[in-house]
Amino acid sequence: MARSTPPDASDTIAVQVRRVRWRWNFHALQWTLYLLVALGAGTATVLLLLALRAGIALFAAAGASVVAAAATGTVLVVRSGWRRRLGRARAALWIDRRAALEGRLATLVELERTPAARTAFFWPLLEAENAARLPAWAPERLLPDNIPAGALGAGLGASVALFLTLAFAPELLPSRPEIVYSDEPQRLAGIEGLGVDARRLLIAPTEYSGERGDSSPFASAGGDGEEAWGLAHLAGGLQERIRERLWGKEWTRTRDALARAERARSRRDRETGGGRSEDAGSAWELARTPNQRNARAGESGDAAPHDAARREHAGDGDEPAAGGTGEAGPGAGTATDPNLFGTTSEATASGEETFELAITARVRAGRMEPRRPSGEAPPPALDAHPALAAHQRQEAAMHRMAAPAAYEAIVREVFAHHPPSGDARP
Amino acid sequence: MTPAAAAIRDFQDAFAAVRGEIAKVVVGHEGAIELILTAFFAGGHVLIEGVPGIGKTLIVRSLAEALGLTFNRIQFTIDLMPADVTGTRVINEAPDGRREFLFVPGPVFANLLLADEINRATPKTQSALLESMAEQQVTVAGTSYPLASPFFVLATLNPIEMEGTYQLPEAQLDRFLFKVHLEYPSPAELERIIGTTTAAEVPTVRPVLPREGAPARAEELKRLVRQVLVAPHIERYAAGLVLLTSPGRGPEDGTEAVRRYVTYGASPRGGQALLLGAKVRALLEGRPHVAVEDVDRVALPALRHRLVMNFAADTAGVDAAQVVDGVLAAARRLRA
Repeated sequence: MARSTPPDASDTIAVQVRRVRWRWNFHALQWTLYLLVALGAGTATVLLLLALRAGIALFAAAGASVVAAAATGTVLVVRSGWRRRLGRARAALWIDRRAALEGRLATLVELERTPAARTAFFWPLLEAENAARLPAWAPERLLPDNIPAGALGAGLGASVALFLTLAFAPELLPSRPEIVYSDEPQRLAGIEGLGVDARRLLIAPTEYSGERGDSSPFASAGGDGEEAWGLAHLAGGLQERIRERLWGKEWTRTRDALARAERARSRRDRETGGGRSEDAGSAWELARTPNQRNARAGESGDAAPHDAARREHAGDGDEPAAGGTGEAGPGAGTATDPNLFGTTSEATASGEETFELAITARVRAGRMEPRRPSGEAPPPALDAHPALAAHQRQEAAMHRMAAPAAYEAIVREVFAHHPPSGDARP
Repeated sequence: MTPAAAAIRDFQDAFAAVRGEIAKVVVGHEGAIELILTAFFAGGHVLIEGVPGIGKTLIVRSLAEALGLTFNRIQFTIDLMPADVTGTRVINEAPDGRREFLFVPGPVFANLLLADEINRATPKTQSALLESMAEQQVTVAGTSYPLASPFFVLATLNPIEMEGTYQLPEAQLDRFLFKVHLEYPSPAELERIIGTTTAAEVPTVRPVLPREGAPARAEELKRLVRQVLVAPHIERYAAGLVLLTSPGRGPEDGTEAVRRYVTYGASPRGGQALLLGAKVRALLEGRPHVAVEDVDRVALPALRHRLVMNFAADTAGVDAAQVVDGVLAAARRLRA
């Protein structure tokens, strides 16, 4: 108990308190930052994975939940970090408790400000006791770790997860629908509502998961006019943007292929009364003969399908050149001009070269992508000013689009004019 | 050794010596004896509650003998008058034939006063102790007579035989620094009591302090207690404890028990008792300053008799000690 108090004991103690405070506050700051990094990277990873693999609805719902959780977590971490901060007033008490000094340091630091206490009988003893216990609460001893390992680990782990997600994002690109041309009916037996013999199949092996909204995790946002805009649309836009950034042009091609497959599936659903085929795992498209199409159009009174791409005919050489009663011959009437797309280009069918393909369809741009028309087309209104028709301006020039040269043969085949098949069923 | 450290050691030695002397004749009750000594050195008074025959009077008498101080005992009864406590004036005839009033001091004029079964006297007589306990003086016929220093009142309460007793008024209860419960001795202690008190040689208490300078020495030790350092955060803690006992005055997350069972909480005297008792505890622990643990250790005897419990507490079987325990737990939560 016999101790001699060094003359600058109070100053030494004050300096050490300050050192402990700085060390702890730096530690708390690191803790907060690492946890914020962990939160941010973790949130980004989950959002990326959702954007790449989930459907729009799931992405919107789960993404909103993740973002809300991340925002809450951020607030909690920041608040907790702020509370961890060691202020000047609290420092001595905190050290006291942490180093089990039984109130010695807190009493000294608090009473130091009152002149009367410094002249008290027990003051020198208190000062000496604190000086003797300085090593017990040295900053390095009180807080051995310079770095909050747990928070740092969380931050690093989340960052690595984000990096890996970005690195392996291309691997997550869905496979494009496989296009199979065949003259043989393929797996049509047992398909309800379809008593046809398909001449050509476009088979799209996309996942079919039930309801329309999330039928495909790779469906584009805002495809249907019935879909509510707003949050879902924003989420869809964000998801689309993420996919475009990570997958690039490959995603655009895949998305278009998937959309075609999806449309085919929808049309098949409509035609079969919404019934599900036994091959529910795949969406598919049937290319029917004109006889079938015209017969169906005649039954329903509908106009022919708008998509020129689906107006293809079975093109076998042994098919009759002219169809049945009421069908136009090749190149006659309103049928497609066989030379509509011009002559074959000289481009080689390989590499990145492209050829120009004129298409007649005018595209109406929606918010994010062309919106498909829905419902019945309104009847044409009577021309109120027929005199003006004489001066009606010409339609705009045909659009031309660039397509890879490798596709030229396929496109020409698909869009070529073929005589209606003789054995097509009405 | 610095003077301060030597003073602390001296205090610890004196305390331990007195405690050891009392322990020679009083079997068990170590905690109660320590609290009584704590209250003595803190300059307060003690209310002792216990059933008859467990050594209340023996403890007080032994304390007086060990400290070498004067000791008086008043057995409070229903017909005890205030003058029987404080003293009275009598007519005295001088040799020259002149008659004058002469003040004859009552039993209150002693260093240690045992007010045995204080709840048997009427409130008027009980109140006669008020002035002496609070101001350490007695006023008779307009004249104030200072009491001896140190002045220490030990009052006892008999919790049974409540018929014909007068409950102490809150104002008087508040003047006791601590309320100490004397528990019934354990079987082993009971055997020792029976054995030692019926033996041929009954142990006696030797004075620890020199009889001539005992009061001055006791006062010196009491002054030392007052010099123990108390940091503002300890004062805040003690004040918080007191406030927590008052329904509607404590923090929002105070105890539910206080809100339900307490009519009035501890007075500021409760806070004084906490700090004075804690100062003695600090010296006994060899510290020149008070720690939170010191306050906690004296909280129960310092606060429990200051709480005015309501009828709901009686019906629920909740006593003040349970409420104080809850208050301490709440204070620890607030401190964490």
